[in-house]
Amino acid sequence: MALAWTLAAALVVLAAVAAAATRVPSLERPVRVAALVAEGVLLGVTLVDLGLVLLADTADRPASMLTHVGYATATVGLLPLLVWRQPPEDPEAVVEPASLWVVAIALLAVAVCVVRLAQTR
Amino acid sequence: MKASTGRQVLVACYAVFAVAAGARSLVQITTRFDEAPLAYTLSLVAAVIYLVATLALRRTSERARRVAIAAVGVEAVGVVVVGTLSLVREEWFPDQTVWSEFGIGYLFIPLVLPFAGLWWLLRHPAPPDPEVR
Repeated sequence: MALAWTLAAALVVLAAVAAAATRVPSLERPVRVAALVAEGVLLGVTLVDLGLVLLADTADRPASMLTHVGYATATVGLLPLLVWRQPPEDPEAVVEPASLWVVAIALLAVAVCVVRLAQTR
Repeated sequence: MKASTGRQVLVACYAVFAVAAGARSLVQITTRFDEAPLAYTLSLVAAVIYLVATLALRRTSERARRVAIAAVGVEAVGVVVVGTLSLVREEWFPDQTVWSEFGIGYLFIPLVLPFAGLWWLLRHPAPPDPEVR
């Protein structure tokens, strides 16, 4: 649970920095790289969690596996889902990256999912 | 904030709620529908409205804008009606929905979101279709 709260706190801080980066352009690239790193960490932690859950005795498994797997999926999937931009129909058009406000919202939503994932263990 | 940024932020918020309400309602309906059928059905209705609003807000056409206004308008009425009923007729809601007590379980974001969405949609008309000239 401590790991979940630490991860969630880090995600909230990163979300705040992402929001600040809308006013400070020099922060934009570090924030986007940090969000990518965060996604990698979340993927690793979630896979380890699911592995431990599957290896655990039936009595030690979450009360609702469906809910737990749902939060695991949201933890890993929300950030790419929200930040991914649909390619334009015109092949020559440039795809702009998602707004940093969207990155901030996605990080906050994932922080909630991380805590809920730990609570459903 | 640019118009495209406002649209992106709204789409992100609605997508989060579509996922949250959708997952919640599917789990509730498949595992314990008999406990609170009205609440769980309303959760599903909310999820569908959030999904329609998300998809409509992603597009920039006038038709999509009208669909988005309709969906967000229904959502605004829904959150106010369900929020009020959940306070005055508690027995109808043995379990929470996204809109119960005006979205208190989600930091009142479900109450603020439709009005913010309507405000944004009414302030930003769809750009003219280049093919209609």
